[in-house]
Amino acid sequence: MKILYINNHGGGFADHIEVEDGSTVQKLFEQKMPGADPADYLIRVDRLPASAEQVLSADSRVSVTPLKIEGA
Amino acid sequence: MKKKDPALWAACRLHRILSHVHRRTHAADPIPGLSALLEEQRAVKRSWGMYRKAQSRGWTHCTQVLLERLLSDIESVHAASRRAPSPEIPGIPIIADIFAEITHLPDEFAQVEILPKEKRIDVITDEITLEEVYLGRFSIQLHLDSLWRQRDATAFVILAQDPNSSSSDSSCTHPHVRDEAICAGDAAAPISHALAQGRIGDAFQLINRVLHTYNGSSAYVDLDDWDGRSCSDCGQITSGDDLYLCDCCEQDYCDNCIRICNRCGESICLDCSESGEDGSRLCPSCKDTEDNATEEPAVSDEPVQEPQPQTETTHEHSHAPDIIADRDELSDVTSDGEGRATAADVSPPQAA
Repeated sequence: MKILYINNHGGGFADHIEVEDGSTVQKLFEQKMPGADPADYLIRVDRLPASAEQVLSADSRVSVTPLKIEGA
Repeated sequence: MKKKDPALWAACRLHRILSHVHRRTHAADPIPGLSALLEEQRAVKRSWGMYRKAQSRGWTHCTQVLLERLLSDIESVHAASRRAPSPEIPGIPIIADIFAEITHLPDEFAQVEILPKEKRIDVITDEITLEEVYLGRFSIQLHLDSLWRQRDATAFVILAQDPNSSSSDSSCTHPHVRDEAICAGDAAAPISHALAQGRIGDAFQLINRVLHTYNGSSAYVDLDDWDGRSCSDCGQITSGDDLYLCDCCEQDYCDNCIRICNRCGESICLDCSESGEDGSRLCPSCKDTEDNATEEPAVSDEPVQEPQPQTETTHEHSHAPDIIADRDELSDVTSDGEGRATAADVSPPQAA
């Protein structure tokens, strides 16, 4: 199934990506942000806070935003 | 839905702006990379024609060379087509998505205000304290009409609600905010993308996260110097705890620009000090005394060294008399035999 994945870390791109049916937020995070700690990010599904176990559905909108972003 | 729902008004206006910008940007090259792809395709067609001609004329070596070129050109077409953006990447956001972004802002911020008259969306952050420096709440204001020109962090105005400006620069209400503009740093690119794609909630959240983060290596004013003041002599920004008050002119000086009068132990700046008969520095009152006295105490011309840490009591300014209790105590220190205290006998003023 396809979901919209928005990564506000780095470039800040939004992409439609393919994920397996039944994928959870945690699985997607581990896949997209290897080595990163979920506690350092705001993770939203369909603009609402999400738990690690939340199962994604087709056309879900997942956004990942770092809690700490350095200004200049 | 109400007829004049501010959120709907804001969504429609944002859609209008972003659509106009999108049309303007993509009028010449509607699909970025398309012209490169077409050029590569023309090269394939050209190579294919040459190959067929060489083949018909029996030019075997030339045929082999052109075949390799043809395969290379075909590979270039594949590469150019991969560079072209996927049609699934959203171009102009639809009004419903922008509307959803705006209506979800209250989930992220306690106060959200949409001001159609001012063409603005305002949110208020929670109270921000960085490195134990209280900076208070900030109003993040998105000026919609700014998006006609730039879709980046400059569209936002950052207003301190409980301003605790840097004492050395009153226009700095935050280490990364000056003159109500944020220097977004690592968030600059994500903010631009979020605004261009109508992800208003993400853009506000990115600004909010920058406000909650301190980057000491690139701040307008370091938080270590937030409450600092400038030395009245050299201008160096120094923490209030490390400044010394000249007992004569009552201005603040850093430890490099303050001196002490050995005779009375008072802190005194270079401008207020006067030379004694032996060339040493004296405060004005001791200078008067020296002029009238037959016995002249010597004073130190040494700059104040590193301030000694004071553990128990803190004061806004330190004074030499805090360390050297009084003249009687001073007279008890080692003298040079003529009742003059030597420079080594006199302690520097301490920073509170």
